[in-house]
Amino acid sequence: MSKRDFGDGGRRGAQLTAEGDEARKRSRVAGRTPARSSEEEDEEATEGTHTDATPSVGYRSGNAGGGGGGSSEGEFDSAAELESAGEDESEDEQVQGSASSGLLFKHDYSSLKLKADHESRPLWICPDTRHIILEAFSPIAEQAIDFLIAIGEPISRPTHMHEYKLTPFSLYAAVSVGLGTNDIIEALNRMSKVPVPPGVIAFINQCTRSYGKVKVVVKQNRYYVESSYPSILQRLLRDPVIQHARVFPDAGTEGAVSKDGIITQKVSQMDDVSLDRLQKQAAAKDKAGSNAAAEGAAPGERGIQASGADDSTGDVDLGGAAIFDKEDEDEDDAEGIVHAFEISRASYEDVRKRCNEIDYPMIEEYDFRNDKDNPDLDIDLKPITTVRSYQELSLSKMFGNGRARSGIIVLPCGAGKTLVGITAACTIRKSVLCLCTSSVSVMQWKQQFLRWSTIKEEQIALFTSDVKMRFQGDAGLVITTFSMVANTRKRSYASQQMLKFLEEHEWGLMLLDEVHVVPANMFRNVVSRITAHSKLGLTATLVREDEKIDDLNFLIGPKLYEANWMDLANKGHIAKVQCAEVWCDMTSEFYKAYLEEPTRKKLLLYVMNPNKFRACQYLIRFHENRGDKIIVFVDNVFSLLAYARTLGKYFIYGGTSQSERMRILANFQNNPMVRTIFLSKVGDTSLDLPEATCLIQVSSHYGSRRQEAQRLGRILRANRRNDEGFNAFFYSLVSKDTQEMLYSAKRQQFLIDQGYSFKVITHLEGIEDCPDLVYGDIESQKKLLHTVKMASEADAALEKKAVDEGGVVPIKAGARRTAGSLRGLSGASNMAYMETSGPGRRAPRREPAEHHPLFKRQFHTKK
Amino acid sequence: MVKAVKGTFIECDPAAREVLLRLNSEEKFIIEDLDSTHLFIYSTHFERVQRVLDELMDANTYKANIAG
Repeated sequence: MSKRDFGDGGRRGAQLTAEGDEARKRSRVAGRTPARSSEEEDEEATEGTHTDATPSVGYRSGNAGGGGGGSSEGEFDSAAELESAGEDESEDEQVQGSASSGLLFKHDYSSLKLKADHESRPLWICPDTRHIILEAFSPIAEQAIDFLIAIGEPISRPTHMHEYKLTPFSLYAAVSVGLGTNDIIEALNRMSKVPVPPGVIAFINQCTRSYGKVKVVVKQNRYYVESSYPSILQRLLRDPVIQHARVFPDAGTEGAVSKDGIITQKVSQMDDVSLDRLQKQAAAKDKAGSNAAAEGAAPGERGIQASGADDSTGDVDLGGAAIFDKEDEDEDDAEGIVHAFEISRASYEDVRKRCNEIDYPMIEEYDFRNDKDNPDLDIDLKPITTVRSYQELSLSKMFGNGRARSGIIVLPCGAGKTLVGITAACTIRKSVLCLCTSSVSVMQWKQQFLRWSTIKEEQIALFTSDVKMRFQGDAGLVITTFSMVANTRKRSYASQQMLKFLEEHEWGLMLLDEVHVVPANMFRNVVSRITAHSKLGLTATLVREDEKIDDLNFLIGPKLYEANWMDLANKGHIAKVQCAEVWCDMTSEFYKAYLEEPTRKKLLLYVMNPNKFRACQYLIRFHENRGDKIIVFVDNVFSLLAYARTLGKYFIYGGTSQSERMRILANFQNNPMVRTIFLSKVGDTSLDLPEATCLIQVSSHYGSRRQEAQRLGRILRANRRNDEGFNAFFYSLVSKDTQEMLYSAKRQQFLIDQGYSFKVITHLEGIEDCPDLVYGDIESQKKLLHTVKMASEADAALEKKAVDEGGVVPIKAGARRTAGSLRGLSGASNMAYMETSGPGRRAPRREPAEHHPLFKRQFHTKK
Repeated sequence: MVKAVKGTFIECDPAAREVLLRLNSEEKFIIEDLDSTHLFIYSTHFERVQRVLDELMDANTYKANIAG
């Protein structure tokens, strides 16, 4: 009898292991905007209803295909399980029974009536959680996806079932691109298998109706809350949080100031379109049918028409004017009069949060075309620059109505985030502040700006620990790092001057690169000190293990656009990747030691597992023979050195000097003899190696989903991605029966949500036929075990990433390399120790301790 | 004098065997350690051993958060 079957065979039973090529090939019309006319949808939906010729498109069949095995068949009997289908993909089969029955009682939707023709409708809507499950294999899935992207946020997008969620932010976005409340509800109703639940209808109503009544604007470097309805402002001011944040106007304020301190100003019509009008505008747009399509496309194109920016500006204005005519009847007395009160910068985030809670979400839009106060920046895209369709699409979400909306754009690594940022800057054409994570990426951004846009070098200013310069003229571009700006400690005179300049300037656009990495506190600091009319965050992985990602909603703005990785891969913008998880048995000696080891050294044991060594060596050999260039990631320095030296390959880690890094990377790129390099955590991000086509991950940072996705990003930009039948390979080596299994499954969640599927390889074909692999005999394995046991605990620590700290703490670069036996390598623990000690001292500032809410305000305002 | 004990023959992989050996050091239940994949244990301990193994394997299995 086999006692351990349940642990292995069934573990991934429900995980989506469908092959990549099985993926539905969806060819979305390039550049299509979500703001499609309702007539069009009508047609499509009815079309869908008539295609009864596909009777097998029921939920059950989809599940069997998507589940990668019939194991879960029959468990999904009621709609209640639907929700779980999207989420518990990696649920252990054993647990599944109990877990889903728990769900059954919590989310029992079996009372919902299915429509008679439900088989041809692709959506399920969960009443209380507002999740929408889409059958991606449905014939009308393509239209449904377009619609859902416009109104909801994608949660998970594997091959056969997609999951979306309606959030206030996504609904605001929908309204601002021109979908009306009734359009949304009708379209949902048409596509849903069940009648749209009243709760969801109420939610949509509430979100879309109250949208746009209040907005926050920046004037002369101060934040104002504006509304055309004084009663709303009064209501807001009665709220204690907002009251607290309020700044009373001083004598010099323009416009009439009423007794209670509300500033009233008459504004010319074109200057300030009240948002209510915008909404109607949008509705009008929608009715205008084909007009609307042209409209929606315009903002995206605007950026591309490099030389003809003036023409396109004209276009948009024309469009706007046309719409103005349509709504004369809607004019009322509030028109043209704006009421406002000022709030302090420090409490900007609180106010936004509070307004959301009391159902008056503030919108932050920058009418950059009519901004005459700030000088224009002479910047355009170069004529040779081509913006890809999805980049356009993402920008059209940002400039949906001719104004710049703040928010975050999520694109996979290697899909051209930089260009999106540059195009946004070229569209707004005001002063730009660009924040990145390290001084290396500061240089990269500068190069990219010079490469893609017509900006002159003297208009670009860098602000890092080494370089501090100003741009010439009134407007320009400043590129700096988060830490340079956020650092509040004592600074050098030059830095102080520069900071003062940054704080006094009014920025048209704040570009935030890799927004996910920065702790919320640092952001708060930056946002409270520097005023920008619009903020654009760029990232590939909007996930954090500490779930602080939601804070970004208030600090920057909602997620504007999230690209579908699978789609981009199918179109050849990023490489197609085969992901595999290789399970390596622990040898009994190592497992025994693993069980006995109480501390963090467990990690060393499962990383140094001889079978893993062998699997790694085998894979390297296999792929070198295929002609692949291979990157091997090992997080832990001790094992990195052991692996690289045993296998005789080059390696780079935190202690490698800059010149040596460059030499190794150059060799990797150009020398056919160097096919493999070993990298530690330093290689995770901002390392552009388009030659690499294969990636092997030996050890990793526990369960970090972000790291997994960032690492995958290293091979997404492979040069050869458009070759016929090309596949990049991503292997994750996992020691069986250890914690690593847990971490590995957790890490994959993000990629699985993006539609990737991980194949599990329990046995590497042909590994027995290679007798010359290392650690083949018990003797050498024992020796290795001994080395691991002798290693100090510090060796087991993961290498801390060397972060650019704005020169406050210089990073020791030139570590000495010593050759020697593995035993001798514990001497290298010194180097590792120095690495860890650096960030250790800085750690409190990078990951500040959680403060009690009571102290939070005090803590932050004191800065 | 011949003594008979009732035992259960267990086949497992080396890792599970290590777990069992470790358990055995706390409370003896293994009658005979046969080879790297086979053990012979007292039947009375069978259920307990199975439960302990289950728990251990569960601890290393990722469970998606399905609460929300």
